[in-house]
Amino acid sequence: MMLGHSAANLFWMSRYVERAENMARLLEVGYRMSLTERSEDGTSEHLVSMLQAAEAEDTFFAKHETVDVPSVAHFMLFDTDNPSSVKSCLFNSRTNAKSVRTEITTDMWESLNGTWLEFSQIQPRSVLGNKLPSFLQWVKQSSNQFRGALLGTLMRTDGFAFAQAGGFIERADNTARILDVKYYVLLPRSSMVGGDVDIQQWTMILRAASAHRAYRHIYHDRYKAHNIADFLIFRKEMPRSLAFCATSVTAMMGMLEQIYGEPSSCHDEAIKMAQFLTAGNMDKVFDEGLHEYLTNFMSANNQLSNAISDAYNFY
Amino acid sequence: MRIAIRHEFRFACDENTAHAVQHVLMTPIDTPNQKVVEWTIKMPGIEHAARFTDAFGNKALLVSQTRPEEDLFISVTGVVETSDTHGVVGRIAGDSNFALFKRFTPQTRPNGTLVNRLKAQAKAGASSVDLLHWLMNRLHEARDGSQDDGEDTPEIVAEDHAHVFVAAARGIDIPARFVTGYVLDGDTGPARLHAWAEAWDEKLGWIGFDPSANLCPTEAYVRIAVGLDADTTQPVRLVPNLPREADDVIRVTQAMMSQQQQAGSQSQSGA
Amino acid sequence: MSEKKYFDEMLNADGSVREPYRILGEWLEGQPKQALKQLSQDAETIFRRLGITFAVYGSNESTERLIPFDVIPRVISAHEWRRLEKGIEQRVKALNMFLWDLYHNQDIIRAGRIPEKLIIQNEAFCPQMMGLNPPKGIYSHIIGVDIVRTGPDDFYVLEDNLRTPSGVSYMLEDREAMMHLVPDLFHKLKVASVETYPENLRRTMQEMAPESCTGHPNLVVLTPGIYNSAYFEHSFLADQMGASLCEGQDLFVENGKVYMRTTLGPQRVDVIYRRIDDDYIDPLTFKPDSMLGVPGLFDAYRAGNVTLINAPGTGIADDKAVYTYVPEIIEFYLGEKPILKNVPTYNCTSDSERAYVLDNLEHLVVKEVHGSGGYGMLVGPTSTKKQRAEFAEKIKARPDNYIVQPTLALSTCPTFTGKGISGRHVDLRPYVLVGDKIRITPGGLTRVALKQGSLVVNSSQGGGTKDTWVLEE
Repeated sequence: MMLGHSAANLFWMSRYVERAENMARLLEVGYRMSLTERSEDGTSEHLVSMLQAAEAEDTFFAKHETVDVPSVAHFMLFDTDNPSSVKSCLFNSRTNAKSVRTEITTDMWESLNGTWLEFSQIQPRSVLGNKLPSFLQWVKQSSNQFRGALLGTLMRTDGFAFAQAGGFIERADNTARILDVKYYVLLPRSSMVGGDVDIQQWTMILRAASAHRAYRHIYHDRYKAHNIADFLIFRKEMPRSLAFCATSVTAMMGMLEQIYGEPSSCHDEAIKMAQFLTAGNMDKVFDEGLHEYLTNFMSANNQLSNAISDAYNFY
Repeated sequence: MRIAIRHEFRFACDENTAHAVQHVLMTPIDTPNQKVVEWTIKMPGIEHAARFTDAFGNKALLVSQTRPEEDLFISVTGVVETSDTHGVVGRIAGDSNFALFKRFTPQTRPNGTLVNRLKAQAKAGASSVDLLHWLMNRLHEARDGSQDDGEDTPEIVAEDHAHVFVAAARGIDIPARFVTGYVLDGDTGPARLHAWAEAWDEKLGWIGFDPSANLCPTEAYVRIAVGLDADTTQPVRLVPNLPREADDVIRVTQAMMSQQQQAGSQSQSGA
Repeated sequence: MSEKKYFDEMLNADGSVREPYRILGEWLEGQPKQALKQLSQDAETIFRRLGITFAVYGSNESTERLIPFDVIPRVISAHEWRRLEKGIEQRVKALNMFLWDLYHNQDIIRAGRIPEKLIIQNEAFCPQMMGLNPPKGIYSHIIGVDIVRTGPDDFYVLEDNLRTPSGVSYMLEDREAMMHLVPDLFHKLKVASVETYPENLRRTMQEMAPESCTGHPNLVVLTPGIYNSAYFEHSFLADQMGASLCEGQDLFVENGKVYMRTTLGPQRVDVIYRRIDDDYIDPLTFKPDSMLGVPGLFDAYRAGNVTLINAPGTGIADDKAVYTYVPEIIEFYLGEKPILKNVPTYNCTSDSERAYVLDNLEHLVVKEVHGSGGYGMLVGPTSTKKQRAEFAEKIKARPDNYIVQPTLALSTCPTFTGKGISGRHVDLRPYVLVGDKIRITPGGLTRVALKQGSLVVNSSQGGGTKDTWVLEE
C-alpha cells in the first residue's frame, strides 16, 4: 500500500521517460525521411505527419509557419510550450521522481537528475545541425539507463508495478501513433510488392521502433506491409508491440493483485485488452480497417490508464 | 421565558469538492441565565460529527461530507429557557481563562480616543462597570449621530459595535469577548442572528452589553457562542468556502406555554 | 582582535592539547600535508554519491545546495556532555510545563512571574490552543537547543527552537560521511552513536498516539512539498522512519478523523510530524487561503483523533522576548536553579537599558524578536558605523521589537580552511525528543562560521557543519 499520489508519481515518472524517448525516436524518423524529400515551399510532409503523430500539430503551427528540420527539432526537443517536448518530459519525470524520492532508488534518481542537469546545460544551437542524430541517440540512451536502473535496483513492490505499468501504457500509445501516421502506406493494394518509396517508408517505421533488424530474424523475408503491421501489433516477441505492452500491463495488474490480496476494478479491463490483442490477427484488422483499429486501441489504452488512476486513487 | 428558535439556511453545492468540512458553532450551553431545553442541528454528515469544546468554551462540531452532491442545508431548532439578570452572565463552569479575552485581534484594534477617555474616567474613580456602561452609551450616541449606517444591514452594525466595544474594553485591560446569539422577534424587525459583547468584572463575572441596542441583554436574548471576535465565533466556518444561497429563514418566538407545558409534562410523566 | 581571547575547543592557553582532543590531535599531527585536502574532496564526493542530500539540484533551483562540511570533528568529553544533557533536559521539561500552564490556568502569570501582556498579546501565542490537552501533556516533542561555549565550563543557551527545528539530517549525514572517511579514528575513540535518532523519533511519535488509537499507530511526515528548502530532510526522515511522506493534498479529514489517500483507499492517520508552520496547517482554523495544509486538521486534533508534532503554539516558549524569562520559568515549575546559562539580555523598553544599548552598539548583538536564520540582526563588533546608525533608529522606533545581548566570545574549533588548519567559531545544536521519556542524541549539529573572525554560524550566512563526537567513558 502506498499514497495514491506516490503511485501516480511513479506511473507518470515512467510515462514521461518513455515519452521523451519516443519523441526522440519520432524526430529521428522525421529527420531521416525529410532528408530525401523535395518540396517547393520547404515544408516537409514527413515532418508534418510526425507532428501529427506527436499530437503537437496545433501547438506547432501556433508558433511556426514553415515546417523544416530546425524549427521542428527545436520544438520537439527544447520548447517548453510543447508539453510533449523532450525537455518538458524530462522535467516532468524528474519532478515526479523528486516527489517520490523515498520510493525510488538512488540509482534511478541519479539517472534522471543527471540527464536533466546535462540536458539543461545544452545550447539548442549546438545540436540542431548535423549533431542531431547523435543527440537523439543520447536521449534514447538516457532513457535506457533509467530503465536499467529501475529494473536492476527497484524493489518488486507495488511501486514497481505502477512504474512499469505507466511505461508500458505510454509505449503502446506511441507505437500505435507511429503506425497510425503511416497507416496508408501499410494498406494492402493490388500489387503486394511495395515500390521503392513504400519500402523506404516502411523502413522508417521499423527504425522508429528499433525493429528493422529484428524484423528479418522473425520473418526471414523482405519488408512487407502486412508483416510490419503484424510485427508491431501482434508479435509478443517484439518489446514495442501493442500485444507485448498490453500483456506486460496485465502482468503488472496481476502483481498488484497479489500484493494487495484483491483484484481492482481496472484489472478486468487490462485482461480484456490483452486478450483482444492475443486473439486478433492482421486479416481481421485489415477487414475492420487499420486506422479504425488503431484508433480504437488508443482509446482503450487511454481508458485503461484512467481506470488504473481511478482504481488506485491517483490524483 | 421560554424561547423557541428555528433557523434554516443553505450553502451552494460545489460538485468538484472531494471533501467539504465545516466548523459549526451553533450549540448554546447552559449559563446562569439560560438553560437549553432542547436543541437539534440537522445537516448532512452531522451523525458522524466530531464534538468537542473549543478554546473559548463553546460546544463545537466538525462536520464533513464526501463528494457532496446537494446544497449544504442546515437547520437549527431548539428551545431555551432564559431569565433576566440585568445582563449578568456570571461565571460558567468550564469556561476558558478570562485573561485570554484581553488579546487584541485584527478585528479588534482599540480606538485610541475612546481608550484615552476611558482611562481618564478610570483615573477619576469610575468603576469598571460604570466605564463599560459609559462605553455602551457612547457607542450608541455615536451611531445616532452618524449618517453612514444607513446602508449597512443590522447584522453588520451589531458586529461593528460589538468589535469596537470589545476592543476598547481590552484597551483598558478589561477582558471582553464577542458574543453571537438570537434575540426574540420584536418591533425592531425580523429575527436575525445578533452580535453583542461580554466584559469581565472581578465581582460579577461576565456581564453582557449590547451596544447596538444600548442595553444589557434581557431574557429575550439567547447566547450561542463567544470568542475573541466575529472570526472566531462564526456560526459556520467552511472549506471550501461556499456561497450562501438565498436568505436565511429565522423564527425566534416565545414558546407557547401550553405546548411547552404539555411537552414538559410528557417528558416528566415517569417521574 | 586577537584570537587569544576566545576559548579554543582543542588547545589550552599554553598550546597543549586538551584531553578530549588528545587522540584526534595525534591523528592530525600524523596526517601528510595533502591528506586533509583529499579528505575534504572525498567528503564532497560522498555527499553527492550517497545521495543523502539527493545530489545538488540544478542551479536554477538555488534553494537546495550542499552546506559546506568540515572534516575535523568537534569533540566533547563524556563529563562535559553529562552536564549539557542535564541542563538541556531541565530546560525542555520546564518549557513543556510552561506551555501546559499558558494554555490552561496561567499560574505563572497569576503569580506575577511573567508579564501577562508579553504572553497574551504575543503573536506566537495561539489562542486556539487554549484548554486543549495534548497526549501526555507534551507540546514540543522535537527540539533543537542552540548552545554556545565561552569557556571550559561556560555554556550558554542562545535559543530553544521548540517549533520545527531543522538540520537533524545534517547531523546524521555528517556522521555517515565521517564513518566512511576516517574509520580508523572510530576504532581508536569510543564515539557515542547518533544513528539511533530516526528510531527514537519513530518511538516518540508512537508514544504520542492519541488515546483513542488502538493498535499500531500510523505515522506520517507532513511536508510543504518539493520546493521547500528542507524538503530533502523531510523525505530523509520519513524514509528512515518508514513513515509516509505526505503533502496536504494526500490527507483529508472525514467524520472528525484524518485519513491519507492510498492505493487501497483511505487509511487512518494517527500521528503527524508536521513540517508546516502553524499558520498553514489548516485553512479551516488558521490562514483560510493556505493551500499547504489539511482543512479540519486542527479540529480533529482538538477532538483527540490525531496528534500533531509539535503542537501548534509552541512558538510562545521560544519567543525571543520570552527567552529572558527562561531561568524564572525553570525555577517556577521545577524549583531548581538553571544548569545552563541564559545570555544576559537588555530590555530596550526600559529607558536606562535602552540608553546603555544605544551607547554601546559596537559591543552588542541586536536581534529582531521574530527574526530567525541570522537575518535582521546586527553583530556590533563586525558592523559598520552606518549599520549601527540604522539599527539605533530601528530600536528607538520599536524598542519592543528587538532584544540586545552582549557579543559572546564563541569558542573556536580547529577547522580545515583549504590552506591549513585554523580556529573558527562554532555553536552546537543538540536534538531532543520528548516522548514517554526525554531522549537527547549525544552531540548534535556543530555549526561553524567559515569566514575568519565571523560569529554568525547560520548556513544562510556562509556557515558550515562539523560532525560532533561525544566520547564515551
